[in-house]
Amino acid sequence: MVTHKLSSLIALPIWLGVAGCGPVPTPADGSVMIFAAASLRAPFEAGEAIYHEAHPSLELEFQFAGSQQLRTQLEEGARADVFASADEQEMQAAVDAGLVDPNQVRRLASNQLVVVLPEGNPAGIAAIADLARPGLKLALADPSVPVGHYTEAFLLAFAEGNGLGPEFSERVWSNAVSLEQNVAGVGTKVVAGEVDAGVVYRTDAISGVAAGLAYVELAQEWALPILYVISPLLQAANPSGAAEFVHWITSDGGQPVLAEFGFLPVPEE
Amino acid sequence: MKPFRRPPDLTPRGKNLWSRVGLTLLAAPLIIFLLLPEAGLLARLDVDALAEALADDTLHKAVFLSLGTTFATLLAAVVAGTPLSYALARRRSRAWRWVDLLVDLPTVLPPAVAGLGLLFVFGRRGFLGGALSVWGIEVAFTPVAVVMAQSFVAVPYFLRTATIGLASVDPELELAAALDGASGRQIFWHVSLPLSWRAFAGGAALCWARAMGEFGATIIFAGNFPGRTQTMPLAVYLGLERDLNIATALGVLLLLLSFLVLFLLRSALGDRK
Repeated sequence: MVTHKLSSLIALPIWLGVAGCGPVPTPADGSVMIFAAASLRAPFEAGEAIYHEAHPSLELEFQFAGSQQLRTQLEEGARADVFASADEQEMQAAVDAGLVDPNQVRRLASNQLVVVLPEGNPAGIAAIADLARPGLKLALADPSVPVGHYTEAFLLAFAEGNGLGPEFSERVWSNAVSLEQNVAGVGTKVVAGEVDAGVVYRTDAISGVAAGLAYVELAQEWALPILYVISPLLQAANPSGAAEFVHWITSDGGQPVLAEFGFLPVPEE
Repeated sequence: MKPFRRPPDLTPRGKNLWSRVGLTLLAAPLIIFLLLPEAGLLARLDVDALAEALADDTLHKAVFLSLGTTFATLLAAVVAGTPLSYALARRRSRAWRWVDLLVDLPTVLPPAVAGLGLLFVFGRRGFLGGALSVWGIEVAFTPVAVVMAQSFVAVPYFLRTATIGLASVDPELELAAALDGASGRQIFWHVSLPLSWRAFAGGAALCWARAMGEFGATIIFAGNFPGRTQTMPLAVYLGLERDLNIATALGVLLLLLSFLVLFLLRSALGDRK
């Protein structure tokens, strides 16, 4: 099978990396532990069934959490075979910590920010400029976490591009009743109807539509690119399985599953 | 201040050294297990990160907010919890036995679920919160919500401990006081409470400590906003997303602060063994 050959080629540097003291590489079987950003839960869990049909001898195991948290756990010695990060900075941090070979990092998918609104849109929000309206209650992510960082950058660029001045962004932030630590925190407050709007990823908004949420797309010209990246880990106990999964999810096998959940294709490298 | 006044050792004396050392040896594994994680935090403490954390205005706000809200929770526990624990300790009817069982529920509920429950009742779409918001009162995302979240998860610890303490008071003593003409209030203040004082103090300390560490219900019901609802555990968690060293430093500070408060509490109440 082509996949097998390819994966063992990719896996080769890993075996060189452990100075040849490991066992002989075997074809991909056993289990693969994947540490993935929390926002990848739905497509990865859905993809597992499809993947399992094509690779019955390989079991996938997942751990989902914030990318920084996962990277911290990996640095503290957590055992995993694959790391899928919601941004490039955390993957770079993993490279710097010696967990990942930069040559093995692949682009996985991209995402966008949207404004998500509770059922019935009680505050009548129709455009980004509405977010600065006094008295509004917003749930935004803290700027120190990726989604909050993107939100902050977007608001600044939007204000500048539309001649609104820096106070526009300040007014939006002053409407925040909570600075959430992750997208799920923002989502909970919006779904419960406790806030008038929140800023989340497009994928989260799409999964929330069933729960009655509506969303407003943001003009992408002001937004930073949001890129998910994935890589086998150098410490992988199952390097061939890890490489095989990374190849599958970044190719025609896994990409349609990601698209189904609202992820966008990666821009050309 | 003598928090550790030495009472006589009440352990039955064995015939030989081995039986006396035996109890200490049996107790040692748990002592070690309970203290190792704290030691691990201290060992990994980065002095620069600690200095940075100490100079951080967000931390000052979090410390202030944590102390303020936990003492409000403690006050609520003692004021509202004392009559309830007295009732739980003395009433024998089937209904009160049910109440006794039900007030423990918050302790088994995962705190995040407790936060959702509070939101469903007191949030602006909740059946009480909706009515309140008509009057312009919204508690979610305010310091009041922090106190409510802490009270919901922590007060049952006070109730349980105080109830056990009051129940252990011999009813005959109360009966004797009543026969001597003492009123119900006098009996409580001069007989029941002095005899169960240690349980009250222990319950208060346990309740305060649980409130201090409260995270899940707070972040759901009160949100996370520096100076308004960001308590120390929330600041630690956000620090974890930002920088492990800062989070460790904050964690150690939380530990030291809690230790200090529990130490002072114990000193003030006396170690009445």
